[in-house]
Amino acid sequence: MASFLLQHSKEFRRKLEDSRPRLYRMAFAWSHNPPLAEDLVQEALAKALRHTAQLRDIKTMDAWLFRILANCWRDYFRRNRIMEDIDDLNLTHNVTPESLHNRNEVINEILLAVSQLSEGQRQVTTLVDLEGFSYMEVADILAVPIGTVMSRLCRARKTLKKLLVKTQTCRSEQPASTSIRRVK
Amino acid sequence: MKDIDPISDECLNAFVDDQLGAEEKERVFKAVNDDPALGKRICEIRALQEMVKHAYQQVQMPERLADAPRQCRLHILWPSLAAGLLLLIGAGLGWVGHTQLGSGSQLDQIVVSDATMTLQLTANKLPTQQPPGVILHLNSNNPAKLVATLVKTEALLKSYARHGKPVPVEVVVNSKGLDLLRTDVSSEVAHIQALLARYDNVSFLACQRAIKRFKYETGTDAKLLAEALVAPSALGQILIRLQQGWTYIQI
Repeated sequence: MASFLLQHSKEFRRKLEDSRPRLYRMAFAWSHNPPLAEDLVQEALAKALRHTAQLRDIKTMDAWLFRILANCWRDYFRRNRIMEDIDDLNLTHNVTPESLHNRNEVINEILLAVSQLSEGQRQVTTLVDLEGFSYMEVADILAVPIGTVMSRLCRARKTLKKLLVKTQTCRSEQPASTSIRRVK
Repeated sequence: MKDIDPISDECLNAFVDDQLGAEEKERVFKAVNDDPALGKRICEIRALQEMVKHAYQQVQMPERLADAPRQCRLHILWPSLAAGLLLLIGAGLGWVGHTQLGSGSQLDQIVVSDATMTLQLTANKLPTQQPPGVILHLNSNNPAKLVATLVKTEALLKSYARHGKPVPVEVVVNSKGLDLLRTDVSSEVAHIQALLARYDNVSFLACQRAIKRFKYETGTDAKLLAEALVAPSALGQILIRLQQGWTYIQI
């Protein structure tokens, strides 16, 4: 193990540093709460440093880091004594009027739709779509069977489709005054 | 007889995510050829995938999580853990550094143990390989450690000054170590101010999270030295400096 560390110390530190924005994005996608996402990333990085010896192959470092992040996210719920089943939990979307105004409308709609997924579905979707993890890796990161990954992903995408179509429909039904009028 | 849609939604998703084996893929391709509706569903899944990816690409890590320290600006609450985690990092990195130093590795020097540093300083020599900077970390309010922090800082500064190499030295405090920079409790204020007045290459940083935690626990603001800088987090600061090749010393 010592030789592993000696050989990979620099690479490990570089990869750890490079992973911070990605870990933050994932933590944000799960929590939709910027301060909490920051805390989760810090905690995950600290745990990664503490448990460096667990990493057998630096090539698997990405999955290892995201597994730690997933554990931190789960621990957060335990610490805060949230009694709902984590897989059934829906978080409210942390959007303020100001951020709604400042952000692209379509992006907001997608973020809002993702925030309405159940916790388990959101985790699977973001791990696959944002990080491109294989189903096997996601199963490993979240410690669930691969069949669960597939069914959650399938349900998540169906829900997203439904939510986004609904939003589009609502938008198209807005009063004519909000749309551009043709001037002859 | 026409097959009842043999391609499940799970299978279509796996196809889009490139998770199918060659045979399964072939089966989906054939089914898509026979049924244009399947092709439409695949396009919809791809579109959803791209939309999610695009939406979250706009999410940027806050600067305070990545940046170097800046003047005092209070932010979010760090509810717990910082002190313990930093201790563990220190222990972990200390072990790595010890191994490296012992083996004469060409890798960057990560950590100098107290013993190593004291030996080098008492021998009136610079550390063998001059780092771009030195970061000292204090997370305890043990009076002996408060004094030791300043003694070691001063010894380093003197040593570098004597050799005409003003290597930057940072003292970062968090958890109970915050007391070092608190004007209402620290007995080392005058010592710190004297160091700051004498050396341009030394700075003292307080962990923003520790400051917030202090306020959370006591209901009052920590009265810090006006000259103290604030790092978004001690951990972040240490990671940044390690990345830059600095030497890390845990008191």
